[in-house]
Amino acid sequence: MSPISVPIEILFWVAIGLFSLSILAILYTLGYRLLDERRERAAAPQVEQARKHMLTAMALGPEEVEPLRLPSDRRVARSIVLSACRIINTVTGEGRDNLREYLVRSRFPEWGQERLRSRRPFARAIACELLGSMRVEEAAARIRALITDPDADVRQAAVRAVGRLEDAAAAPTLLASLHRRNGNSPVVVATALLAIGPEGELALAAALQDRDAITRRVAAQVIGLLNLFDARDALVAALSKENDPWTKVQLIRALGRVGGQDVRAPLRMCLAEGPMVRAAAVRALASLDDSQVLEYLRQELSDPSPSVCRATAESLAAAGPAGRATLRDLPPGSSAEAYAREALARIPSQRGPDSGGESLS
Amino acid sequence: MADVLVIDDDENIRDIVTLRLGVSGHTVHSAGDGETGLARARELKPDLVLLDIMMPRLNGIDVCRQLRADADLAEVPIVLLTARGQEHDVDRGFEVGADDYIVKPFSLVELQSRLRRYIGRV
Repeated sequence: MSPISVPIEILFWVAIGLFSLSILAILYTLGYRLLDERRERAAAPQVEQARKHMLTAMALGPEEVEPLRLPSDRRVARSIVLSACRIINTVTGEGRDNLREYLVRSRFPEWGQERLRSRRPFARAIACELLGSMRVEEAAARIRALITDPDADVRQAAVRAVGRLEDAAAAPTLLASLHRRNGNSPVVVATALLAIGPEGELALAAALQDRDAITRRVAAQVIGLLNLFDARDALVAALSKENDPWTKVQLIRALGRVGGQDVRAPLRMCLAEGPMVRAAAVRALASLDDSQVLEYLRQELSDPSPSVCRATAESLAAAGPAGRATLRDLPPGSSAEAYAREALARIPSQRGPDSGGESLS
Repeated sequence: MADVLVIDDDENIRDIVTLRLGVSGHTVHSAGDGETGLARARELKPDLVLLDIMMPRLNGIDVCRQLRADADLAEVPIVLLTARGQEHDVDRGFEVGADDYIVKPFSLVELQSRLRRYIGRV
């Protein structure tokens, strides 16, 4: 036996072993999937029958059908619960109340409350969906605790559920969850806060004064997303005190979205700040739909910062005929000419293919 | 009693409307997409069409436009179903001839009272 033949043999058998393991893994996955599909097919009639019962209870009244008994098979029970969540959210008023009563009779809330403590993330997420959709207020505290669950699906389901439950006590936790590592999406949180109602909006306004800059920033971002006109004064007050430039940018963007004539002055004051804040202020002013802001924007075309010049040109191009005329009338050789040309060239794609292009004369 | 056609890709909506209007004595037909809905409307000539806007294959606006272009169906009342937050689609619906709209999730009582305007006592 040559000295080199041993390692080659070993390598050969290792390769054979790895190949066999891969084949086994593929066969296992395929087998599991087949089994899963078979189980799902076998469960389908049971799920469909439960769906029909729930729809009948919703349309005709809870006493029209026998209460459901959730089967012991975890998979089938979950499919039925998911179906209940979809159905209950299709209608409001009497129909929803009918189905809610029917599900209470069928002991769905007990099933959900138990699953909130499950070790399986999927079970916790479904339980949040169910209890939120059914407006089970007794579960609010437990669901609130799941807003910061390690699993993203559970967190999202919990956020939706506290919104449906209009759980005002969840507002601070919702806001705090935004800036954690692996935090919740601002859009999902904003939707939940909007569903919570005035208490959610108050919590957002209060968060603009938080000691933590990220909380203040996220609160401003969410107010902008929600377009909360009533939070305008809180935004203006926060802007006057804010020292963090990134948070200022979010406050300015939110004011631009919220709008109103009384936001013009505080936004104009930001034109004396650093370039990043000035650029945000220019865009926010342009979005106010206020003819007076055109004059401030014209002045910003000679701003020493390229980013502010570009923002101003783009804002003027998007501000209608008067703004575009300002760009076309720029004297040749002016510092903003290139930005103006670029901004005007973009107009056709913003206004649709048939609107035709514009250019500097 | 009236013939109502429900065109919606959400099976739950189709079934619940069928159940609710069915007990009032109306005949409810359904379709799960725009193309099938259009074909069913041409075949059945219903007294009212309840039409979802966001659907696969052919959306509700296009179905509405084609229904209005069909001489046999030009006068059939069309009530649009639209998701909350997408009410702007309703303007397009009215432009192509829809008569009314209902925002989802809707109340079954409101649905019935709205339909009553078009098909008598529901």
